[in-house]
Amino acid sequence: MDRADTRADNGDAAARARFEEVVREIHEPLRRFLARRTDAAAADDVLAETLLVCWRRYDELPPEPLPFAYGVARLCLANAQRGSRRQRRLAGRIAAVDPPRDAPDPVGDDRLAEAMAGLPARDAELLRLWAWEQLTPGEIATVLEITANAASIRLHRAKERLRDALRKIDATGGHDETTEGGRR
Amino acid sequence: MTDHAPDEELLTRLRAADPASSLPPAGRERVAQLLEAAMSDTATRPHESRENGTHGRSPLTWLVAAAAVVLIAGAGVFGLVQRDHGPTPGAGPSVTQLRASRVSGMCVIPNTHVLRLQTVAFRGTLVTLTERAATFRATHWYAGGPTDEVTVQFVPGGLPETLQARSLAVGHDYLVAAGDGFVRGCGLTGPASSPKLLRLYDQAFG
Repeated sequence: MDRADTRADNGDAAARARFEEVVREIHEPLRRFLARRTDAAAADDVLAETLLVCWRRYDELPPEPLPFAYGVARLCLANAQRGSRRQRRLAGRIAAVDPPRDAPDPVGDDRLAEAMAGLPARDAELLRLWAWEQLTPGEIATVLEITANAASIRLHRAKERLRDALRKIDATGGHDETTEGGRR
Repeated sequence: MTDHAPDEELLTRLRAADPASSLPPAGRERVAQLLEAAMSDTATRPHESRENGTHGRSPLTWLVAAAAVVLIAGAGVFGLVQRDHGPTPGAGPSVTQLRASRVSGMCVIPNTHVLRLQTVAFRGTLVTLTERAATFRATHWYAGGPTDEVTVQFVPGGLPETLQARSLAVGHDYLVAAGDGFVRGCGLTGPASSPKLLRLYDQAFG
């Protein structure tokens, strides 16, 4: 082994050590990110793929890797869901299958779930990133690969649309008051 | 009431309905398994050079790459991320998925050395074009692939000048290069009718 190989090995060891630290930091938030967007089995598969991609793109990991990793997870999930839909189309010719949902509903608040389901997918995702991942517009911009300004504007509009949707649902379904408000 | 009060109300309501709120934490063993699985992908570990990184890979590596999806636009780089790299079993034409992202930074003068470093390079006919994506039917692979089709997803914010949607025409042939799944502009991607670009590809891969 020559000196170049030794240097490469040392660099590799340092990269591995740092990546282990990164994974310890991002693993749990990524699990939750995926649990909010797909079923458990798919979430587990996509998590593994996400970490693999993060390792392969280790040199691009920013100092705050989580928004970057969310972006990777989001795209891995989209790819997995496309594959799943393709398989379902094929399987559907042979037997009825239980179609997994692309994103779980908000729990315990039927009106909110209905309102979110009625939003454009982009708005719903912005709201999830804001409320559930608790990201700032700048971090949302990293995940969605848009500018921070665009993220801020779109998030503002998404909130408005969600409020409008909730108002409409409340107006037409006022009999079910128990589903209102911030239930815990 | 402040302007932020409605936001707080909405935030509280959304957080209360978080479907992951009851998710128990993963065990250490599972985290270790995932780490091991990710880092055992030694063929694509960090610090490999682009020059030897592609040519030395085994077929198994490419299978792993096929299963493992890639995608992400790094801030400031051009992009195209290759996800389904290889045929999709039993599901129509095989597709390489790429992505075009915004441009940032400076270009080097296009040359055969830079072109050879790209992991994906192909000639293809543009068969569909929307605001969000372009699909090419690959007619010749110089590097990467081979798959029947290549889909390029456009990311808002910019494309290589040579791959601007307005300059693309269905039915025309293009030469497209991508590294790390990111489409390369800077004179490496453009219409195949350009003798200069065609010569560059021939010299790089011929």
